[in-house]
Amino acid sequence: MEAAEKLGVALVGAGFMGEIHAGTLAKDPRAELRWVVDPTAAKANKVARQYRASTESRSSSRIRKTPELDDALADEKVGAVYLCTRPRSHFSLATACLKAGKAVFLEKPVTFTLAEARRLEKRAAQQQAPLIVGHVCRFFPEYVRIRDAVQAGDIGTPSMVRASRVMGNPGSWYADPKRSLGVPGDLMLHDIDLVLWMFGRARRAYAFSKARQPPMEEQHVLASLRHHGGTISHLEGSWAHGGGFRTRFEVSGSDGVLEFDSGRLQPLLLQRLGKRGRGSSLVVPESPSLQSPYDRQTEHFLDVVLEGASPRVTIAEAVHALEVALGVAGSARSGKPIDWGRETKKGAAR
Amino acid sequence: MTLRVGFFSLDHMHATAYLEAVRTLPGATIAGIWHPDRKPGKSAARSFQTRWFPHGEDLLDAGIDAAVVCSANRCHDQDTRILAAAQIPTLCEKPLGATTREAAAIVKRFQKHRTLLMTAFPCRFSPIARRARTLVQSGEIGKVLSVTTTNRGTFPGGWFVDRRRSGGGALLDHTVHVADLLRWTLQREVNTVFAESSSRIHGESVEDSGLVMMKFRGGAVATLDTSWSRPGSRYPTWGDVTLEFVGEKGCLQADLFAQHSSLFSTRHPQPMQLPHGEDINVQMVREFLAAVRQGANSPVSGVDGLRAVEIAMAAMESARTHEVTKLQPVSLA
Repeated sequence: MEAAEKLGVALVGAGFMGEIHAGTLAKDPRAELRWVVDPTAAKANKVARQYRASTESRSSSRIRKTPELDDALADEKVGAVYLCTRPRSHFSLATACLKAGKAVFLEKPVTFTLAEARRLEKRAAQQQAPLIVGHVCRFFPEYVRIRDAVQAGDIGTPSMVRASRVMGNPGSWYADPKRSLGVPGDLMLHDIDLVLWMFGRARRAYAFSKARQPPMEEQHVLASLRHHGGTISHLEGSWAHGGGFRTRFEVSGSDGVLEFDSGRLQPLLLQRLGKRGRGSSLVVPESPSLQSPYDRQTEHFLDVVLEGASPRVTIAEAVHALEVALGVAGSARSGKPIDWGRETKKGAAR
Repeated sequence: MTLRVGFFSLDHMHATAYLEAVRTLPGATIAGIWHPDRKPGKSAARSFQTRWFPHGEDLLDAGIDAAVVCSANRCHDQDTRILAAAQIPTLCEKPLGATTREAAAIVKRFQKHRTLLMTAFPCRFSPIARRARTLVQSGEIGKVLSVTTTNRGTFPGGWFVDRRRSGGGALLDHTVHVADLLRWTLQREVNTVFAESSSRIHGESVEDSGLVMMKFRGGAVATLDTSWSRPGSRYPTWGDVTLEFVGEKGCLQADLFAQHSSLFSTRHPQPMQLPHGEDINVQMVREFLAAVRQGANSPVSGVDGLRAVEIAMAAMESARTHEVTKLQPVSLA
């Protein structure tokens, strides 16, 4: 690669996703982390340290830490901002970044409310700088392969889709309905985005939600989704399971069936035994690959920002995914189906 | 005493399994087969070494102790009349009727004649389903919050896709199995149903894909994928019945046909499953015959068959109206 100027990046939110994205940025020689923005200095320092440890001595420049986003936005060498904060802050932070002319990578969900999402969509349309929402599942090779096969017609006309994503209770702020959109807007949002991506916009939804541990309102959610094209999706998202993280995705069509079940695949399984070689053991499953889906996502983001590639996730799609997630939550609460009615012009154009 | 079992119509493909069960079980014999079509009727009679009868009354007159009815859904009402009138204990294929009205009429008729009527729900005789029910009812996972279920199968074709004879497609054909398992396991009735359906797989006039969302009294919810979506000869098995419970204190998964080995052979055109679980059809017929012999209550009542039909009908209505349908159970008091 040519010795082109690196894209200076500011990372906002040094939490779980911030750490992951710092790791992906460290692996791409086209990017250079310049700022970590977080109110907690210790967390910002940790992410900066991790970044430096995983960069292959390409950069000697200092990573600055600050609690203020404006410090990073004032840096002319910052071309892009990774927003990895909690959803309630997404709208104001993303708007500020766009206003400063920075490219934005925004963790999903796009915003906390649909009104914010629509306003952000308008702002982004007015700006030159790209905004990409982190629907990372589109970079998981299993879903890419499934989508390719569906598009190639391998299973004929898709009729019934089953997407499931189950795990234990993550606790922390995820479980707080005031700060998190819960299972529909956080966990299930992945599968909502996937089925909308593969089978088209949603026409109708009906959903159930159950909670074992208040104050969480939606801990275990089951949804029926009717797509405009006629495909039916069954979605299951759960923070109420034991037995670890498991995802399933299945498409039945007129000519065949596609099945994926992470619970049946064990590419690598580590078992740590308890004392004296018995007793409680810890089982750690992994699916090793040269490039993680997050790495691929960052590579794509840099392709978009630096080389003008067309974004794999449009903001309109992220807005619709949020709309459906909120519809699922709303239907579960009201006990009534939600109908988005006829295809909008925007939807038809896609 | 050897029970003489008469078969009334072979329309439904399950008839062969039930004939095989009666042939193999001790203490029972096939008294004869009535089937309206001469050729398949005679052919089946030959392979099961019994007689073919051109009319149901003739088979009745030949002397039978019990009957198995495997006609098309829409014919159950008609075909069970002479059996109820003659007080012949009857095992009737599911769904019990093609409509709620027909299923209720059948139930009332057997009640009136004080005769045993059993709905053919073989899944209840799966040791896996029984163990799951025991675990749930003993409180192992606490109060049940939700159940995610599937009952997918291959495309049956024939009269199944003719609404006048079947009464409906996959929503009717498959919903009744899991609806019954859930009622039996949770000991609760369904309160409301929402459903989606489509006919994109086979393009027939009846639906081949259904998604049923049920709310039970007491608060539990369940979803059911009821579809003819397994791709026949290209798939290693006919389909599945699975139930995944989430309870207050834990989770439970039941996969009723998981007990199998897989065979990959150059001698067979496709991968195959070699099941090693119990034959639930044989278990069901065994229980039916035992109840007949002992004059006991029906192992799966006609009312159970009726309630399952009501749930399927509510699902079909919701799939048409896109509204939540409230169950209105027929009163049998």
